[in-house]
Amino acid sequence: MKRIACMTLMVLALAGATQAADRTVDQNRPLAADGRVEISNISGDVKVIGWTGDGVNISGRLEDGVSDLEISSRGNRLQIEVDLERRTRNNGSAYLIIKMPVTADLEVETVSANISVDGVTGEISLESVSGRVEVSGQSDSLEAASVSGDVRVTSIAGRSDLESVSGNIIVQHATGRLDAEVVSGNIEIEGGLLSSLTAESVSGSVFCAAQPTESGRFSLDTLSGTVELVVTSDINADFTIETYSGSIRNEIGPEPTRTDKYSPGKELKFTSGAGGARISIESFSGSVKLRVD
Amino acid sequence: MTRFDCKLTTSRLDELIDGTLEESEATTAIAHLETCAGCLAEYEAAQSLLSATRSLRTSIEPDHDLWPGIKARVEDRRVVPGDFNHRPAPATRRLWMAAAAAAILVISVSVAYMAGLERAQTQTASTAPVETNAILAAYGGPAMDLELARNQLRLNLEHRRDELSPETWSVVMENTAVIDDAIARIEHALADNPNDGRLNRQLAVAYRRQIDLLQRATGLPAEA
Repeated sequence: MKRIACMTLMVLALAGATQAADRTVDQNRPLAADGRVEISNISGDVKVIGWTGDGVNISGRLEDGVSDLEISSRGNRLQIEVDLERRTRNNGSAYLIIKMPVTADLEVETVSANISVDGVTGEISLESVSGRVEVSGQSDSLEAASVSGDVRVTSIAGRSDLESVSGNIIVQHATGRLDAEVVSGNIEIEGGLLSSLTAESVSGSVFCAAQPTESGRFSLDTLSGTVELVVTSDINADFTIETYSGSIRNEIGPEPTRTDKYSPGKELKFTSGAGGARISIESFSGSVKLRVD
Repeated sequence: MTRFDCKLTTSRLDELIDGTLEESEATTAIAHLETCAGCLAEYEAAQSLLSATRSLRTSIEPDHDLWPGIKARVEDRRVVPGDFNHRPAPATRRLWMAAAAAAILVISVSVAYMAGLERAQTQTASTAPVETNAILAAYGGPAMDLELARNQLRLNLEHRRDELSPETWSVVMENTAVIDDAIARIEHALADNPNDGRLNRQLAVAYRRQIDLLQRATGLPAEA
């Protein structure tokens, strides 16, 4: 009994020590509205919020294992870098909240830290190894990539280039141009009006319920994943769908035909309404489904 | 100009050169080329590659002048140094290791990719039979060179194994295997249908995806 009490006390003391080792940060730095913020963090969180306040506000919590938060300015750039103590080698997490000018550019790099960005309209570049990447807002140009983490973007406009290897890419209500690429992850595009869409997977599935603009171009490609495109019944578009050994199911037009009698290939070309938008879907062995909303 | 403009332009070089890019996009891309030396070099390199593949018979030697454009592109991929604390020396070393390995692969597979696309397009436009798998034929001694390039990049990755977490390593290896599997299945299909332009195109795409993955993995920040 005495031993258990003793151990409990030790655990509580250790927990208290860890708690006490955490440090908080709250600093302000000047930055022009057209400046650039560059952030690197290994583990934890990086939350970035576009604001109309002056300069940049950096707040958050640094766990034991983080030796320093280096903040430096070079010209129109503000660099924020989390340094870890050598002895802990990547075992310290930093949870950062960065408020920055809405129109400034942003670059974030992390290893396992999650990244979220809201309300920044400048050029955005985000990269994580295993962290989740989330963006919402009206950025002119967005690049977001993760190896195993999901990439989720909401209500984006402009040009977006999204990549993941095994993570999923989830896009909601996007406008403008979108490129999405995965290997084994899935791509889900819900809602939105796009002038250009390229979605590519190797084994992951591609689901798209966004609509093309009048002269929009969609290109959905997979090798062994499935592709499902949901369109409105009054869509004006020219469709070209091809698969080598997969199946094609079409709810809005004619049936597919065999490409030749000696191979299993199938293709389907047709125009819906007056045409205009160009939609191309290609798979090697994955099935393709075209359905009406 | 932004890195995004560079990526957008270079990803559509083949369409630009073929004249199949939409007019507005072509105008934007050309305007970008006029202001970006890196992309212009890559454009010129791609043109050289396409010229080379047009005259291909049984072998191909990549133009060594391609290197500056490829080097610039590889460097532009921004190898993030290990933990973010210790940038200078290891970063430089890793960058050059990555650049060297990736360049070999990029040269090799760019040739295969361009040649494959070229041949696939030719097949679509013409009914003339093609003697064998377009990429392999265009590549000359392809399997060996491609294997060599691939092995070199994998060896490079193997050197970085201790720097990546087991989880990341596993994801990279599993997804490399996914693409290997896709390549094997397309090649199997091509054995039955060697003149299928779509299959050749898909094979070229699969190679490109593997290049992208291996290049990216080589440039990942160290986690351990």
